[in-house]
Amino acid sequence: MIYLDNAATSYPKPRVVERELLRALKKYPGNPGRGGHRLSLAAAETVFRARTAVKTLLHAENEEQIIWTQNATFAINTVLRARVEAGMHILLSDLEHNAVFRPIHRLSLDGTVTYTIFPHTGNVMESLETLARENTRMLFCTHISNVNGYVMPVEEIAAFCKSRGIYFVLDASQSLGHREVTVDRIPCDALCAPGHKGLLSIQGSGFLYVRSKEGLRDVFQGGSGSHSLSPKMPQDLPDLLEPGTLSTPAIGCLGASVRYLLSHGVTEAEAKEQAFSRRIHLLLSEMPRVELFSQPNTGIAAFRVPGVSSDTIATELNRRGVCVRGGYHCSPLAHRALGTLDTGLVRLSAGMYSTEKQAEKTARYLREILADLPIRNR
Amino acid sequence: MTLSQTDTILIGSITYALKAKTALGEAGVKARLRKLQPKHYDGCSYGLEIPEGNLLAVAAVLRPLGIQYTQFTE
Repeated sequence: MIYLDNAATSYPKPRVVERELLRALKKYPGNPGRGGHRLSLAAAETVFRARTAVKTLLHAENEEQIIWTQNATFAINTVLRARVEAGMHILLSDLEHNAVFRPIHRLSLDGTVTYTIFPHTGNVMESLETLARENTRMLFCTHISNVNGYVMPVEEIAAFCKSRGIYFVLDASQSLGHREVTVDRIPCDALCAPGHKGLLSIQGSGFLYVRSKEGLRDVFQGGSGSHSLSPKMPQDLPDLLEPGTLSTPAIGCLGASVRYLLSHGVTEAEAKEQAFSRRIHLLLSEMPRVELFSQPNTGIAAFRVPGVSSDTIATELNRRGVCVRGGYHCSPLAHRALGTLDTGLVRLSAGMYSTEKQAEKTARYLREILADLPIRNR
Repeated sequence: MTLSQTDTILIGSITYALKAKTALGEAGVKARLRKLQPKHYDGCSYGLEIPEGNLLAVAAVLRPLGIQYTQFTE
């Protein structure tokens, strides 16, 4: 099997993650931050170690800036609702995933917010200057498109937001773990990421990084293990935004996988993915019917064959043992911007364990499929 | 470290308590994490037991980090 759906979730996971999942069930099965017994304290220590690992990866200042969520979507919803004010205007790019677009659109339906979508093409900074309003208070932008790997100029966007007093939320779902992403180099106000993609942990892990607790309100309410006689949520981070029992196994695995990445270097993952990407892009570019929508600068290759549904190609590749994703990738804005709403795109997304040999084998299968397609589509 | 030979500091959230424990450990002060139920506080909280005679060292480590704490008596 060749697994090329790492943009959806990474596979395989490092051995340290497999081992940590078993350790979680046996060594620290208590509820973290609730009890005073050894199993609860062991769980709390594990959760804290994971916070330290993510803090180190991001070059953040403090552990409490890392707020656990079950995935990037919950991180995005949390920071949006923790900051939203009636009447505010929000900017978002035309490459945003539904994880960003739908929560903002939902808030616009009852008039709480208005929003404007800015294009990723042309001069992004000029577009932002034109589209920002006096009441623009938040800007959401993906670092790397989950559809075609397009890299947004997030450093410049961060500088623009800072100069305008706009709260900048970076969606690092497709960049963290794939390349070095740090909050000193990209001075965002918040960063959202899943644990199960480039960070190589299991599903159910994710986090929100916030630079400061200023201006944040609680979104969900519940037990926090602290200030328990108060009817209000604790005002300190991370407790303010972390009600309820955490998924200690998922967080423990995330801590283990981030420590693994820190010891191996994110650059190792980036180098392997780019080697795959350069090879597959070269091979795809030699296929006459293939229309490419990506560049070999990330681990994502996206293409279509005009007139053929992307899911048809994805299904045929799957029959030959290659796992890829066709369709719209939960990103209608991006497909509209790219002009691919009719066919969708076939996305090949590499991971830390992808190889150039896999690229060659995939291309060989694709040639077979393309040779056969006119007959199948009659 | 027995209970009679320790001082206890009340910190509040588990995250800050563990942050304090880590910082103290790096400064050579061994601390033990404990759940506390102080009468004057608004519910459950966490703190650290530290060997007696280390409160000045604790202040020197935790104050620059902005970790607030109070001395706790049973």
